[in-house]
Amino acid sequence: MEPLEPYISALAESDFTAVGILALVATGLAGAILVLTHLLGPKRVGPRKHAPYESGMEPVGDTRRRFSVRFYLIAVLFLVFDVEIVFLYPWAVLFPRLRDSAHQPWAQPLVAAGYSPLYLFLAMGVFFALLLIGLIYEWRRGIFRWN
Amino acid sequence: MIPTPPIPFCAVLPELILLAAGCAVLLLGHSARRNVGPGVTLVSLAAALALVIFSPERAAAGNGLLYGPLAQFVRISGLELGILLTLVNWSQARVGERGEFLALLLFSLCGLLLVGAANNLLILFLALELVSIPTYILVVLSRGSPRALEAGTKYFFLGALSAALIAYGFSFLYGVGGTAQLASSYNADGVLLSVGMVDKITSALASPHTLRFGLATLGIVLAIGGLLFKIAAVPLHFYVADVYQGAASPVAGLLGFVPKLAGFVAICKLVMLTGHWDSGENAVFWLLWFVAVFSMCVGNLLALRQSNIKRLLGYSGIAHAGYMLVGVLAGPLAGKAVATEGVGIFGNGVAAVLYYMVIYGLANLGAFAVLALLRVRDEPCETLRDVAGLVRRTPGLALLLVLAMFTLMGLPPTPGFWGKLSLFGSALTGAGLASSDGRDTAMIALVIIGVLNSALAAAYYLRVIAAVLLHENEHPARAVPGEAQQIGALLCGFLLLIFALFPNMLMQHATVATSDFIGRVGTAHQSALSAAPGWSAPPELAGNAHPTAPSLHSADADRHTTESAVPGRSEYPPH
Repeated sequence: MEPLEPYISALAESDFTAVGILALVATGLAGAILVLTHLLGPKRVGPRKHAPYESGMEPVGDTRRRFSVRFYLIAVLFLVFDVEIVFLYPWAVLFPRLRDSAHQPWAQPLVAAGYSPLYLFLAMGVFFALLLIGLIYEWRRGIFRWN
Repeated sequence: MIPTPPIPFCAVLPELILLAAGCAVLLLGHSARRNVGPGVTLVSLAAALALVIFSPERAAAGNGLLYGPLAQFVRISGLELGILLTLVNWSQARVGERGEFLALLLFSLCGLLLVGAANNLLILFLALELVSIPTYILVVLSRGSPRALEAGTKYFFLGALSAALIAYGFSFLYGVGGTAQLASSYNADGVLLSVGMVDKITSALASPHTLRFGLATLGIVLAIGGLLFKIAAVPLHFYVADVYQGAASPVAGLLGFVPKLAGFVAICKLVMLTGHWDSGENAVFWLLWFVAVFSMCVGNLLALRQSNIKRLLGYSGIAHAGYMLVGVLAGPLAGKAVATEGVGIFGNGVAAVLYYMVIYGLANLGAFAVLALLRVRDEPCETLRDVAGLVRRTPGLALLLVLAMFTLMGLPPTPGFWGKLSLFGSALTGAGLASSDGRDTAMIALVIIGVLNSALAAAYYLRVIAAVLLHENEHPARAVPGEAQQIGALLCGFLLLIFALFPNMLMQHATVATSDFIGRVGTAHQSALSAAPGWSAPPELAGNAHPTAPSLHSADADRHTTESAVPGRSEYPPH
């Protein structure tokens, strides 16, 4: 039988290891949640429970009716944090490598041109400050008061 | 490839001031004191303006921004008009919504400043959206009537369409250009740092029957088509009258300046990519030609039938977009033969556009400011009947309205006349230089259509003036108290008078502002020549900048000084 070690070490060296682990964890987690909910969760049945949205939205019917404005507010709030994450991921990946630019040849011209770690940190700080101001504004406008 | 260094922090300080002030006003919004928000807005605009005017270091580049003479012009005119807009809009929004209103005004102005500096398709798109998205909300917030809601909704949906067109067009340009950077960037020593897309787009458009040509044409046509919404030119003009009528008068005055200046600056940046001003061998000429003709005719003919002054000014805005497109067609190089003799703006279509844009913005805002200060039976003053006999009750406001109308009409002593003269003059100079494939005749035809339209437009402007001065109304309009609004309206009239007496002040700034384009066109022109061996330029087309215009890059400056000016062709304008 062929030894598995060279494949495993090659896999460990490639950049796709993380992706593979992520796929495994995601699948496992999703499966675990499904199974555990099925085993442990309380069993309630009824028309409301069988509807796709438990929030009370009728999924079938005329779309030309009034929607609660809260759906839009929640969507906008979600968007703020969603966009934040989209920007934060590449930044978080890049930032430690720029700090370690002595061992990262591709990062050296960037740092030399002025994109120092401090610059990137401040840029992300400005972005966060803007989001924070948006959040404070929403707070002061009473968006989180549901009643 | 060496990465270009980031732009220095202090170079974007005016924009950052506007942004910070916008955030502060947003949070201060419903503070107990009513004048805090407008006061902070005014102070921040004045601080940014002082910084722009008095800061010693002006040229800067990096992060997709390029601060040259054009950005400087957009900054100064945008901030000055911004101060007037703040004064006129001082107490427009309801007290609870004043913070949002003024913050959005500041964000929109910040976007306008960034459009002037954008040197990257992505930044240009984002800046254009930063201009437009706040204006959609401003229209709705400006007054609490269902009509404003309807206007805002219409404006938003057409705006979304135009943004989609612009983004789609930009994607093709990016594909052909291979980069999103517009003009090449140099460091202080004139060493090339990164290559822009100008050369590739120009050479693609100079080689017909290739795939590159088709894609570049598609990109340019889509992007300019989307921008026609911002300047309210004909195929995308349907919203104008409804939005101007639905929005409160001060906000309608804003719509006549901020998105339009942004749109024209962006269009000039795109036309610069095509090399049209240099060789003109592309479809952009006929696209803009037909848009200009239809904008002038449709705008004026529809305005003739209006009895509502806000709708009338909306339709006249379409016609004015048409006049200004004549200047875009003529381009900054139209008068390069006469530029050395100091005639300047009469041979520089883009400078004429920038000049006219400021004058139009002032006159439009002045007219709307007068309407905002008047009430008829506690209703906003809107129709011709409402302003009838105004001169006998509030002579100051009436005279300001008359001055604004004369300026929009283009009557000789007003700055509107100098604007039209320079627009059509540059078009005639450009026609003299055009090659003889029918485009010179087309330019002369365009000028004739423009002049006829100006005469036609006098009919409806004179109707407003006649109503103010001659007619009478048993329910007269009354002036509402509002010191800030009155100061704003007064300043509009004062600036119009200043520019009537000293038109050169603004014209020189506008001419200097176009030196960016002339430098770029020169670069594009040379590479287009090397890319298309079969094509030879007529000798008149050798690039030559205005001698007094400071050039951002020493490389460009050297090129201009080594090339000799072409004498002759100075019959127009007579001096």
